[in-house]
Amino acid sequence: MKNRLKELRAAREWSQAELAEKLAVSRQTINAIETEKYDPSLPLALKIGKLFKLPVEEIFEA
Amino acid sequence: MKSKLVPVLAFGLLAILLGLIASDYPAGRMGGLPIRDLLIFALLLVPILFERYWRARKAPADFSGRPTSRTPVKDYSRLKPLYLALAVVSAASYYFIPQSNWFSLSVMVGACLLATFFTPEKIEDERIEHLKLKAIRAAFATAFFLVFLLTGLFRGKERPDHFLSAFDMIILTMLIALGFFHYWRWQDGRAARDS
Repeated sequence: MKNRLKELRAAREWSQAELAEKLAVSRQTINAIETEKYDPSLPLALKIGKLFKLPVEEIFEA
Repeated sequence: MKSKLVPVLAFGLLAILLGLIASDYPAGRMGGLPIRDLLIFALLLVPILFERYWRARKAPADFSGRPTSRTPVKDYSRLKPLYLALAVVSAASYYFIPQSNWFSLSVMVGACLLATFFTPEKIEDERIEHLKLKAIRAAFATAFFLVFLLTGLFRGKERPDHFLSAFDMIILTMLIALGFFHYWRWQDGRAARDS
């Protein structure tokens, strides 16, 4: 699944570790999502949407 | 600091005790009572039981939905080296203590490897759960394949004593699972450093 997580994170000048801390996950998990190796669960996707103040479908696309 | 030191010391003493019992426990001793086995299961349950206790003490239960992370209140990942050291010491004692027997020690080694694998990580998030499930699935498939291969090699020939017990199978599976899990985790971490 394609996503804009890296782009959104870079726009806010957050490191992977900072984003991971905000989402209560590990830095490796953020990287796995950004590199599209792993699709997050619905609760985590919703949490990401809430953090970036964007609907989930604007961050993730099938 | 004091609150962390006490459980670590208590756990260390328990591990030493278990190691001593495991290294000198020929089959049939202690009237067949599974004292050591019960202690091993107590060892496995420690992180789970204490985690519930600390979580209940720290904050009331959150019923708002499934959490995105199951990060433990206490950092149990520090126990992993202890479990691993205990497994290595138990396995090594087979070669260094003449009266020890592998059947007894393999229970200890298997249990410690299980505890190493299933002890929560420092940040126990959904990716960790996903990788652990993937690793255990791959490990079972690989271990079964290897066991079938080994059994096939000895078909029609005289097998050595204690040829691949169920505990040996657990040890093999857990070693493969730990290998896969840490390799995939290392790959995630490496990619994170590169980006």
